[in-house]
Amino acid sequence: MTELKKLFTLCLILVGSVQMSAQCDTIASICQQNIGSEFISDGQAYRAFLTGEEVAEFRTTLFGDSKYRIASCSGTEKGAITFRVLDAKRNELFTNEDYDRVSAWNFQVENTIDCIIEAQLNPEVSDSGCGVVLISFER
Amino acid sequence: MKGTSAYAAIVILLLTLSSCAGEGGDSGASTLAKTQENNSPKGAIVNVDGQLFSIPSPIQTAMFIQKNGSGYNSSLVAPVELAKDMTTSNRKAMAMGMYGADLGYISIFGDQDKALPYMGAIRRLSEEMDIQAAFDETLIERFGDNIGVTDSMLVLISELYESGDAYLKNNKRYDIAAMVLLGGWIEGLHFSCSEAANGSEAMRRRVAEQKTSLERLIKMLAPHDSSPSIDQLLADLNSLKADYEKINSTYTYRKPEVNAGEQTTTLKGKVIHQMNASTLTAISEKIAKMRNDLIGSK
Repeated sequence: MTELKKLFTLCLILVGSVQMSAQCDTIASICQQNIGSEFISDGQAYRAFLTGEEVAEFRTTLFGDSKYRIASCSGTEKGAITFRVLDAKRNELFTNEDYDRVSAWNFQVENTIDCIIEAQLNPEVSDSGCGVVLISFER
Repeated sequence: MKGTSAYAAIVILLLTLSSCAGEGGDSGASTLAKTQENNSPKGAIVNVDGQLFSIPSPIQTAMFIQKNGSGYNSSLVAPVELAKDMTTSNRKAMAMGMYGADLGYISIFGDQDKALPYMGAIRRLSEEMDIQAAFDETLIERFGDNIGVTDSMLVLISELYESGDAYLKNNKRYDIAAMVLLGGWIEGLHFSCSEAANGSEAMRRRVAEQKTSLERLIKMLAPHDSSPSIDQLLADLNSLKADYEKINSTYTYRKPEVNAGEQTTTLKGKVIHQMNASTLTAISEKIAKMRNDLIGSK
């Protein structure tokens, strides 16, 4: 019986991970609508399953004399995710909390800069779900 | 007997759900790997897709070269016929990334005759690595239909990269995903070094700006150092890093400017890289060696 319980738990974990992956694919597809035709994806997929106050963080380089659009989504509701852009010294350069948690924002970059992008669920909307970040640059 | 029936029911349930999720040619596995740290002011930090990093797009590098370089040089791209000589998964993955960067370079300069063979090589390599499901057939058909329409080709190549990256990460093939990114990065830096050698100050600066990308690549590859070929790559990258450490970089924070109406923030921070000629030469030679190790031997 104990083995059966272990097997059942394993099954739940596997099924859960399959569903998470499918959920992330769907959210990424919806989030893509925030990237207009004048922007091109950087070709990488940034996704994380978040719960509670967990923060998804990754580091990127934004190149000088370029314009970027960064979009971040979770679920289908607007305002479900907070995203912040920091410099390498963790000075805050932008947070969408200042703009009703808008899903996408443009960044005109004068000089190449190493950045940290953080994404976190808005607890008023959801306490768990897939967080997706898309980076694109202007053609 | 009851236990056996329950076991069978669970296995059937699992197989059914897995096959449902697999429909549409997508993954059946979680994309996620978590590492938690405690230095966040808000909550635990989750590493996105098991990695913390983003690598510059080779398409963006090609666009930069078009704007700041000396024009098209068809000898800069890797010979497409070498694709068939790649014998291991790591080599095939790196070659895929390299040919993707080449395809971006070829497309942006409008060398239409070369585009399809490079797309064909990428497709063949993906089949040999059994990751062809990463590339939607319609994406490849759309590419064929848009040969000569530079903007559309660039969008499609970026979509190809993104769909491949998502597929590999969904299937937890982080090692292969990292090798594709590495191949694209090496080829992009090879283009930049060649243009910098021609005297372009902008390209020289772009070479220097790869310092943090190199550090991220090393961190990306480090967890996969179980094979001799990755050990060698890491040794090469660390040797390259030693040259990059000779570049003196300083960053000055400047307050960003916001145009809320246009939903745009202008980032005004200033970075200065000081790189002397001998460091540029050393970086160029090491990138050339890494590239030749991939395409020059089987």
